[in-house]
Amino acid sequence: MAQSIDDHDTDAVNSPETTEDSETDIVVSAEDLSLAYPSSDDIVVACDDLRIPRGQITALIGPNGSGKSTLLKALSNHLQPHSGTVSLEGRTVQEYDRKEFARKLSRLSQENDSPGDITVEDLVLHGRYPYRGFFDGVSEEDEDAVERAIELAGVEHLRESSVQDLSGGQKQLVWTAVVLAQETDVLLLDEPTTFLDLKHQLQVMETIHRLNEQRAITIVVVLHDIEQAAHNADHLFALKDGAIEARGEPADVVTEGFLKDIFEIEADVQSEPSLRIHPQRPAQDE
Amino acid sequence: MSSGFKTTSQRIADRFTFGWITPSLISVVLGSLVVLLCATLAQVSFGAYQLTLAEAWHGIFDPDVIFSLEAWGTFLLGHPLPKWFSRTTLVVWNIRFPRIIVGLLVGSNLAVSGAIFQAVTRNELASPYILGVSQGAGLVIMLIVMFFASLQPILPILAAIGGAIAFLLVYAIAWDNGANPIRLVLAGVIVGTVFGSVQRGLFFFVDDLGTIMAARTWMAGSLLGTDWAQVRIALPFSIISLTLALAVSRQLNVLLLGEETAKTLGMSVEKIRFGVSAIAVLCASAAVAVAGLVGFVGLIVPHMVRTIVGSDYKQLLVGCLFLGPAILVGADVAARLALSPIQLPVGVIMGIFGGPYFLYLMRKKSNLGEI
Repeated sequence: MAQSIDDHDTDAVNSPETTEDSETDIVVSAEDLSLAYPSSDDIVVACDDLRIPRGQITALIGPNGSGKSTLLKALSNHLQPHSGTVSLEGRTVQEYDRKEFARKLSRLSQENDSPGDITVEDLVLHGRYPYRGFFDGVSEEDEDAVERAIELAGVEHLRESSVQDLSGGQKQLVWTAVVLAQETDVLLLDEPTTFLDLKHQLQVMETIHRLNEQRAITIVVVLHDIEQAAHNADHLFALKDGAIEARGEPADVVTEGFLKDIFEIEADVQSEPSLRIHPQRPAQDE
Repeated sequence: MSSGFKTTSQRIADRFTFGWITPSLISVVLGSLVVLLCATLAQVSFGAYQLTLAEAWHGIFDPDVIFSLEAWGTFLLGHPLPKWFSRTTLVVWNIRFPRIIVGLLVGSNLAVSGAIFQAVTRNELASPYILGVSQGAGLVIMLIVMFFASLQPILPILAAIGGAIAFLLVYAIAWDNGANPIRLVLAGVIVGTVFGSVQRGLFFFVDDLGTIMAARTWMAGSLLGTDWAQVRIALPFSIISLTLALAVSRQLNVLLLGEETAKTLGMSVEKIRFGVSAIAVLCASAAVAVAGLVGFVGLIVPHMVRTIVGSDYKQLLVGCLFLGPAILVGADVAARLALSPIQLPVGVIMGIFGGPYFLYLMRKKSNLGEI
């Protein structure tokens, strides 16, 4: 499977060997970044240094309004930084041609919209947009990629359904299939599990792991649920008020003090047999 | 397993290549053709020089004309009339038939233009008329007809510039962190009204009564008196703009997914939006240049087709190419024959039936306008 990704991208350096050396191999990075929305000058996110290691699952966590989604938008070149740079494989994101960029990095946003009557298969085919020329038809590669994406996201049974007939969870999986059809090395996911029931949450997380393990895709995921993040990610970044306050492996990052500082809650953290958080009460203002 | 995969992939290939030709699309196309044929026969046979339906039929499908290069030279290149044309041939082919061809071009251009604007604005209420594009184009045309008659041959291009200016104005006025459907419609109405006022103001600078009468008819949107000269003006631009429109159907489908998703998929959204809007402006301008201000076609036709074939733009645009002419030519028959001998402008008929349809859309849709 990973082989076929490389067919499309001759300069992809996404081989298993390089993932071993994860400490030094950085795929997405940001320097001296400050972000503001076009309508105002208020800086929403400021971070000096952000490095996303290749081939790993990195989770961004933080309370509401801490700037997680904003940061993700900047990484995917949807938001022009107020200052600073975002780079993908050594080149700033603005240097890329849009389609070339979309073959390397994709982002699944929190809410997605489509005409209701489009079928799942047709929607997933749109994921091939960056591979198709202006007047190109559907190539065999496109068909195979659509097929793989549908399979990986586990939505084979929905293939012929109209999007309007799907539940929220099914829609999320289908949209995951769309970004999978882009066959990128890097995948950014903005709260992919927030509005889903437990079964679909688990399905989405399973898909993420499958992608990461089988196809060595680098994943950056914004998660609302700290425990879910701790269980699934290799690496955590915690944001508060637009600044990265903590980073590292989940077991090192998620402590009682951390939860108090970042999330303003009193909680017991149990590390054995696996990390468990037992929230008690909101922390008292001092 | 591998053979199973093969058939699946083969099935997908067939689906993506021919799958868009659905039974519902075929029924739209066939239904439109039937309406078009009936309207054509009615249009050709009735009038001051009365023909029977059979005569009309034989007149239109006269192989001596259809396969005559000389005849087509007359129609499309403006050569002198061949001497062998009979009286019937003259009435059918030189007087009544070109009006139908113009109606065909106007109908398809307006419908396709409306469909494209609806994708660009993601708003079902968008159409060249409502977005002020028609009036922008109209103002330029009025100026040319009244003061710069020598520029007639490139009328659609100049009209397109006027239409584009109006559209940009509307977009700029409506823009507020994105252009929401209601604001766009309001801005379009305002810009359209202003441009319309200027058009009417121009009347007072012209002394020639004939020009004023022609301009008045034109403002109401009429095919009265159109002949092959109008076909020659509109045809080249229609072919270019309609071909381009079909070529960008996939881009329109991706635009429907929203700006953010389109960007994620690698689309240069601003460029594509600008490019497809230009195509829509050209379509509308070609129509306005020959038929004047005919409203509601660009609104109603895409909506009707969408109700039948769904939101896929390849199907939608092909459906518009057929249903647009059927509606416009049909309405023109009514406009010409209903109150005979008075000929109403087709724009009046479209307005009378289009207005209520617009109201019906407003009442029916809970979230007004969003596709």
